[in-house]
Amino acid sequence: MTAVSCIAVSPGASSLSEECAVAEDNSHLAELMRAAQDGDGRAYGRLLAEAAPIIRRAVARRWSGPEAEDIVQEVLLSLHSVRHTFNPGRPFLPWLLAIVQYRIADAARSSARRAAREVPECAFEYGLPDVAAPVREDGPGDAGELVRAIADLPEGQRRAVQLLKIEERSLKEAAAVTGMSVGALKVAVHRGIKALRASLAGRGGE
Amino acid sequence: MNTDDLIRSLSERPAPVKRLLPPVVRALQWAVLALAAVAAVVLKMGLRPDLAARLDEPAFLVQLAACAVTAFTAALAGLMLGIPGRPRAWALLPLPSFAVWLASFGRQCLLEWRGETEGELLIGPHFHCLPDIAVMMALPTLVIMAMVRRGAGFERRLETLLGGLAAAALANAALGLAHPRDAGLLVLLVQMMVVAALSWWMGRKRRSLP
Repeated sequence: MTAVSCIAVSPGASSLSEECAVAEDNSHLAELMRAAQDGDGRAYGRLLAEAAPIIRRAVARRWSGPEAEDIVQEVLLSLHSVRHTFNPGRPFLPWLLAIVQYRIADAARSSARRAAREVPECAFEYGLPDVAAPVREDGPGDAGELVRAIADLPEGQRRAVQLLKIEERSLKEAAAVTGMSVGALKVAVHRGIKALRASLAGRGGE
Repeated sequence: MNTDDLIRSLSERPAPVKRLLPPVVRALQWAVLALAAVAAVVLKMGLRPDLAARLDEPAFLVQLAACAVTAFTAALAGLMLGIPGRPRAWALLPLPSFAVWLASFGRQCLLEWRGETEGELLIGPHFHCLPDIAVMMALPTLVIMAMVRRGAGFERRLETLLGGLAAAALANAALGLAHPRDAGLLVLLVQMMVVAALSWWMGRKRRSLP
């Protein structure tokens, strides 16, 4: 009986250590690991390929979420990082399944943390959410007041605001129309907006 | 990346690794190195003047033995937990001798409360002993922490705690031979503070398991 089949035929096993107890023949995995520890890439590839289904089954028993394959990969990465801790004189599966157990526990902790800290923005099972832009509570404002405020601006600022902000012309076009330089237009529009803001704020407070 | 690609990339050029020796051998290595270090410090400090008289007291011998056993078993347990697949029950190994060590504190506190002892109290603030304690604990603590870090690290905090206990027990046994006052409680407190700091520092990256 191979190690893989031992695991597969013991669905009633209540713990990972019991699974290990029924896995009698994993000495070839230990031999592959010994070779891998010495730097044999082919043996290591074979070992990981044989270990992956064992890991996948062990994870599937305890984890039903979509992250199961991620956990399998994390186990493989952990196995790689701690391969120096394996003693070839001892069975391979208890060592491997202990790593699986730690990784599942870690995934469960991460999942619990996420559940506690993160709130889903919307629940798609009830359809797509209404994500229209929020409506300002104070409304769009009084257009007539804005027109009067613009009319009260000095001539240079008024023309600059009219051309650049209302008609949305480019600085070059506005310069050609007014005969002002680009720099002067920038200054005029900046001052005009500032004056409008002050004017509207003052009128709003009246 | 899918799992097959991951396996391919891991097995492309695996660097040879130096296998860890069995935990018993590593614990013995630590014990030999740490004993040599504390013995050198004890000889430098000089043996306590009343050592011969203290060695005639069964209670002193029991405390010494409890510390020595706690040191070795805690080191062994800490290193054992660094190997995946070894039962967590190994962490219980140093508890009986640690309980005897703590009981010796209790006995001494009782004697002091009944006024049957002379000199400084066990629970007194022996701050003048701190330099001796620090020197005595430094090397055993550093060595055991370095050995613990070579383990897999799935139980890093527990391993660190046990390693710290091992160094504290050895330092206390050695101080008992050199230091004229019983500062065992301070040794334990100082070491627990060191271990708590180390555990926090080593456990900081606990989110990223190996």
